[in-house]
Amino acid sequence: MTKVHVSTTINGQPAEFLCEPSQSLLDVLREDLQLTGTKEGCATGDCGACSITLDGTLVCSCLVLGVEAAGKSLGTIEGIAKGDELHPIQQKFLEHAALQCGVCTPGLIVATKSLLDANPAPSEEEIRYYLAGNLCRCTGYDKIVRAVQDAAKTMRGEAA
Amino acid sequence: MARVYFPDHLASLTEGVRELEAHVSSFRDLLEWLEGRYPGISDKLIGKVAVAIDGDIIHDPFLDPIEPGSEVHFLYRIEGG
Amino acid sequence: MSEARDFRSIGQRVIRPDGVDKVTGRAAFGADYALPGMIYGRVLRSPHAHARIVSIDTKKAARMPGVLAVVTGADFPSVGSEEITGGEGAGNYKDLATNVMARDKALYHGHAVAAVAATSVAEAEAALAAIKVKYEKLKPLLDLDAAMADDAVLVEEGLFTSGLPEKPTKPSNVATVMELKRGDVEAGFREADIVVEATYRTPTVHQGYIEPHACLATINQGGQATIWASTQGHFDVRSSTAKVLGLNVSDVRVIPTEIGGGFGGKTTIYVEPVAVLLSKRSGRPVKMTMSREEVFRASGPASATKCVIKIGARKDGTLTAMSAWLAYEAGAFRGSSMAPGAMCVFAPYKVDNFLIRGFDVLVNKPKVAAYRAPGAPQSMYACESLLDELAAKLGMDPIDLRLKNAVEEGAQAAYGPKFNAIGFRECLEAAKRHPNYKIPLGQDEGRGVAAGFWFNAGMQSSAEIHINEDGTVTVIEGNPDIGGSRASMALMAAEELGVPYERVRVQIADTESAGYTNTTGGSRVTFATGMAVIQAARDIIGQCKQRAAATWGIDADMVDWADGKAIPKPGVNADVKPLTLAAIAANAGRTGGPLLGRASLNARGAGPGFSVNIADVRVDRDTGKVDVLRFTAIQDVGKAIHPGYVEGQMQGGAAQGIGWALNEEYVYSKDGVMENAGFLDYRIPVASDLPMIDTQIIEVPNPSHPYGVRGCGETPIVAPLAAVANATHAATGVRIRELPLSPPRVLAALDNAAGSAAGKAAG
Repeated sequence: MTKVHVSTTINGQPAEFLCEPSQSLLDVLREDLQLTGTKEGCATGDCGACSITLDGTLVCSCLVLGVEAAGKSLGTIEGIAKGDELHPIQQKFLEHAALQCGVCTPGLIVATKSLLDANPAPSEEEIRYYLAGNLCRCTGYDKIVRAVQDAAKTMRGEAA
Repeated sequence: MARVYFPDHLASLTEGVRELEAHVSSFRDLLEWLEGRYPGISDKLIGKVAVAIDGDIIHDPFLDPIEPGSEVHFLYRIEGG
Repeated sequence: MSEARDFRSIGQRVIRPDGVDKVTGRAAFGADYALPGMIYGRVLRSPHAHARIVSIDTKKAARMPGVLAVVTGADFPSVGSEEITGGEGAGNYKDLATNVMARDKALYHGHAVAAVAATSVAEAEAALAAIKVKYEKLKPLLDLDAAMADDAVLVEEGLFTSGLPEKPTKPSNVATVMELKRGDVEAGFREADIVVEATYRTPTVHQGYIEPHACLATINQGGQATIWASTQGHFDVRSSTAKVLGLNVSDVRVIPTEIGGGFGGKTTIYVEPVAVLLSKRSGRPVKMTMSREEVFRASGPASATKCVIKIGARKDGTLTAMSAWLAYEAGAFRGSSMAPGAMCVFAPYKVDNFLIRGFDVLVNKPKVAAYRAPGAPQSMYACESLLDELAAKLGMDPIDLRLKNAVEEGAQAAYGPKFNAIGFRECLEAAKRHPNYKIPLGQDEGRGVAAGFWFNAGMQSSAEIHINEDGTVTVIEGNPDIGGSRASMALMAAEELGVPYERVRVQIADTESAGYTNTTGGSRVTFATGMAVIQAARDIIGQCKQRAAATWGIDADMVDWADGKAIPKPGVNADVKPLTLAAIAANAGRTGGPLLGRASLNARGAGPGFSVNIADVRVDRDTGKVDVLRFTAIQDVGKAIHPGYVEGQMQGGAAQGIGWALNEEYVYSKDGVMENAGFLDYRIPVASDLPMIDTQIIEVPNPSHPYGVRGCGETPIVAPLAAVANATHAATGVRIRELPLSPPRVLAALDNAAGSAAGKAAG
């Protein structure tokens, strides 16, 4: 099968790749571009470990074809920290012990950023429903929800 | 004198005896003492069962001391997740 | 051995040393490794739950584009029957090898029958489709009742039950029976004012770790293999892979990757030896990952069970007799967690007369693996549910009933030995006092209580501590960090050495770089490996005292270690300045060379863990859906090294237990095909399913650990099943004795109860 040439933007940088027409974006990111921060937990859109943003919309990259990235702007976990500085969401996940094994964490952080960009002051219920597509088997979500609440506060400029 | 207990599933190794008294000062001595009474028993115990000496569960006992008045229980090897 | 002391580092909620890598996507998990020339392995799996493999034709597949190797069971060495004794838990290498790749029979739907390595996953999968396997279908055995029937088909021909007083005369699907008893159980029941008895069932469930099994393997022409694996125990991967492939242990190096959850499910091997063999055949590094579907169908779930419990009590709640009949599905090979399930079932209670009988039963389902306190959630769900039924009949508060019979220090556990210091009573009293136990409930709401227990394990661990030239500290140990254990190790090293936590870093080293260490499992890491780290730190302190003494020209026994510094002992007449760890390290070359501390041990005295959970639920009578409104987890952990991660264990275990209680189950077709092999249909709790999970850490120090640590990871999953089931009963008045309490089952039970109530009213 002939590979397709795709030009896209990843974390603000122009990027190009060749992919099979049937190849998922997740597979392209991980296997071809070595951006392994985005994880595969199911490949069927059920676990959210592969969460990225596509032109600002939160998606499961396992449900997007590589070719669909053409001309779009992708945001992955590798682009959340700004240079040397962790994003407040990352910092709060650490402070609240909101990760145990850490494999769902990149997806949860990408999803949380997407939530807080759209809704800077979500209620607990809004957080829980927004993150319902991101499975975590270790934490029971308690500390994740608290980290998100605290990150939201910091991002709103309120003292923690 | 230490008291040594075998659960039912191991009592076949001790001709049905489930409780013994032994003058021993370590698990190694106990194995030797048991082997003297029930030839072949140590092969069936080492690495196959766990032991609790005075409430402490030990997976691979050997040099562990046994005090006078100690209680030694043979147990299933317990796995964990 | 436990010392009363003020801690400086222990108990602090520090940021874990591996944290930044895990929130930035840098941390490399099993599937994140790549090597030049790497190819991809995929497995062909049996479409039948039970079938004889007549022939496998791989010729066409081998010629397909991109295909570099094809293997079947015939390519693996034959492995003789041999008990696995090195690691934790029962097993047999022959079974392990046959589970990795089927030989003459496929024993469950999803059993591996062949594997291919190709330059792309797509090519490998195309080649799998070209392999022709001729099967002769056999009748599958899919549940305990069928497998235990006298005339049942045999999953393993020629299997004779072990553990019986007399050698059985005919083969059976019951691999093992065990019995634990004390006193006279029949007399105990006669002594009772009230006797209750009921049968409870739990389904096959999965650990549900988010990261599928994954490895990367390479082997050279000299037979030396290197495996990167996501595993709870790389030393076990090494020994098992060596055994399955007939290699020397010294020729297998296993490098543990970060691990995306395991909960017991990553204590064994599946794809690792297959990847090594494919690498040998192709001459290329081979990466293998399981799909989520394969994880469900072909890794090791937890046993489905049938438990019959009978309890006798006096009017005042004193238990006079207890009996348990416990059958656990082992899957296609012997070795369920029946034995620990049987040992746990009555462990929290003092009762003079009991009889526990356990059965390990083969069925045509995947070989079960450990799942967090393996065996205990099932049997204790049954017992803790029946205790709730008993409390209601006695008109007693369920916590009071448990307090009346609770084990304490010196009580003899049902599984044999006497307990040392334990905190069960403290947990019960904390539950009784907890404000959540007093919150008023509304319509269709109910509150349930249950207790949990797990032994916790010790076993073998090693640790090394290197003091770097600037006085910073590197701890090297061999337990994959599954939930923050690097932070615990660093806290303990910092505490002993008297240095700030931030100056300590922890490396999880591979099988050639760390001393032998048993698997991350059994809630043993903070206890046993922590003890090794503490001893290695004390080794360093001993050396530092000698170095300081040599520097000062006094005897080593005249030197103390305090606040991270060597100082002369009180009364020693030496006009010297204290020497910090950094100062001693800087001068190490002149006083005897680098500072290297080490310890290896077989830790004894893991302290048993008890818990009490309070669950509040609301039941929707129209749909049968049960919602958890509040959940309170109370647990004795001995000493919380990092309270944040201890709470995390309690909360995560609660969530898994709630999932087990309410939703999770393998749904099988009549042919033995799992029909819900994905996270959409095998529904683990999501964020919107759960409330905040309140925790209360109880600290009754374990006398066998320098800081009092017990281990805390497994106990949390035990109590939630019955706590939620008891709450559901309280909310509805209907007792459902089978899990999960999924909407259809609850609705049917409510309808049934309403129907029979209406029938009674009409009659």
